[in-house]
Amino acid sequence: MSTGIILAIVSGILISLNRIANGRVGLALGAFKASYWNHLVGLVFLSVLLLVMQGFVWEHASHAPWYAYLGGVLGTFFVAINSYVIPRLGVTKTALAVISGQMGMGVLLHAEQQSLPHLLLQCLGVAFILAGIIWAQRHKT
Amino acid sequence: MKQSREVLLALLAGMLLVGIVSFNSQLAKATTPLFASWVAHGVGTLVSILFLLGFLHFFPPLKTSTKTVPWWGYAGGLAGAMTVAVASMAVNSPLGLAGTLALSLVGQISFSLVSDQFGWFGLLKRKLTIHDFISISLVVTGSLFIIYFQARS
Repeated sequence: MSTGIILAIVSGILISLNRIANGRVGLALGAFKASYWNHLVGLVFLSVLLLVMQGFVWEHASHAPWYAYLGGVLGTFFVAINSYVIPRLGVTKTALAVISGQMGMGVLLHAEQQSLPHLLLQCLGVAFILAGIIWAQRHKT
Repeated sequence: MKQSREVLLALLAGMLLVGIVSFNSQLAKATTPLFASWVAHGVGTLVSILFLLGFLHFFPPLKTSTKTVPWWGYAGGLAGAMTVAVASMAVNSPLGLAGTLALSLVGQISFSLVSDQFGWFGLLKRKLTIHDFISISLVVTGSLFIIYFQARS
């Protein structure tokens, strides 16, 4: 359990480090260059890792639906937008807004599969998030 | 400056993230999380090259900043690629998906706060106020509600 806890927290820190570093590249070279470097460096690193672990599972690649390959296309835009926003908005505010969008969209997309009580509790969660975003926008320093 | 445009862009990025996570996890189910991440990075590299060729003028660099990037800026992709491995190990631990999401969120926000407060990584130093803590508490509370009452599929 405790290993899992540490791993989960570390994954959050890695996400922050990733976005901060990309934001720093975006600050100097523009957001799409940041996206390019992020994906290229990650690709090289993962290529080495998969070669060492013999993890290239080409034979299974066709089992996924075609649209599963679109993740990388959306990812390009995600990194670009994030790298554009971070130097302008700050790390925490950017993280809060990204998380809010993610949570809201998640509730919307999965609403059909939810039981009504859970959906209502999730809507309460969305209300909290909206209140937080509105609070932040009202109290700009 | 209200920066509403930036906030809206970041919200949009978060919405995109839902699609990214969903597509990548479908690919990961058919293959492995690492292989899926490799594919996503490969596709991302190609698409960003296309955009660099055609649309460099969108999302320009900040005018005031220098054109040089410190070495660690380019290492961002390493942290991103490692996230997949670390997060999937956490999900497979007794912690499960909801616990991993929640703690990852806590790790992310805490690190962001410290980094903003001290102006780490050459980004603007932003002293945090009581209003920041109120809005963070609201967003985190709301997120934990949503994560814990997620439909298990």
